[in-house]
Amino acid sequence: MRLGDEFKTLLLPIIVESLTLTNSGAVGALVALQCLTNSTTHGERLAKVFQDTARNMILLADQWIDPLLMELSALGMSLANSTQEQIDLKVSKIIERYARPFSLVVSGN
Amino acid sequence: MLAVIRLEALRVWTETLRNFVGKLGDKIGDLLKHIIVHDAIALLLVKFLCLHIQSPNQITDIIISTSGIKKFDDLLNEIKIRVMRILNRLMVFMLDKKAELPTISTSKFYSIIQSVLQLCLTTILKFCKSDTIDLSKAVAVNCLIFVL
Repeated sequence: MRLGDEFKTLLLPIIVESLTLTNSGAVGALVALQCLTNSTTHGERLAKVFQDTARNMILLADQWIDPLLMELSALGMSLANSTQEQIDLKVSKIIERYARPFSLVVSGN
Repeated sequence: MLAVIRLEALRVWTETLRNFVGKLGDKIGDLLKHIIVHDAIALLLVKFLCLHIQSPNQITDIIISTSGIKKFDDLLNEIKIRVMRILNRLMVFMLDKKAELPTISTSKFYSIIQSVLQLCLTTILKFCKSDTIDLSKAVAVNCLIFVL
């Protein structure tokens, strides 16, 4: 087994376990999983990785989607009576504060 | 405001799923069946397509985020483009392999095809007909009008 493959094999159980965390560790695991899928081309091996991680990925997205819908709704209401300038200012502050935390992850088109 | 962080996390999520779909679909065979069996993923992807910010600029009943808040629109649309790419790849696979794999026709992915296509058509029609959208700018092309 090549070193890269060995490394991924060792890493996978840690990723699977970390995806169940309720803190930002789950996001870290997701980023690691993205990197792993970026660099794996063997179909059967990738299918096995998917089978191992699918359930936890679903649970993770399930946890995020409903609060996100509520937050976007609240954001829409808070900006409802603002001018375009006020909206731009508020949004710039939000973006600056939480500027692309995972932008280091290389993503394809 | 956690929405930005959650959106970024969803961006990574959709990119990861796109990697799985793209690479499992590249191989000759039926590896994408491993993804099709997960009904929960189909439902999540539909929810992602419905994400939007309520604003006077947002065109109703369309997939594209047009709230006018550029940074949020960019982030939301980036996620939705990935979702559409995933669904597109899976739809081609399902239509191709439906006869060979009976589990396809009973899957949630297969049952949402019609709704997603309807949503896409509505999106194209409403987006193109909207008075507030500069179409040539939105699709990043220069339109040349030839008068005969």
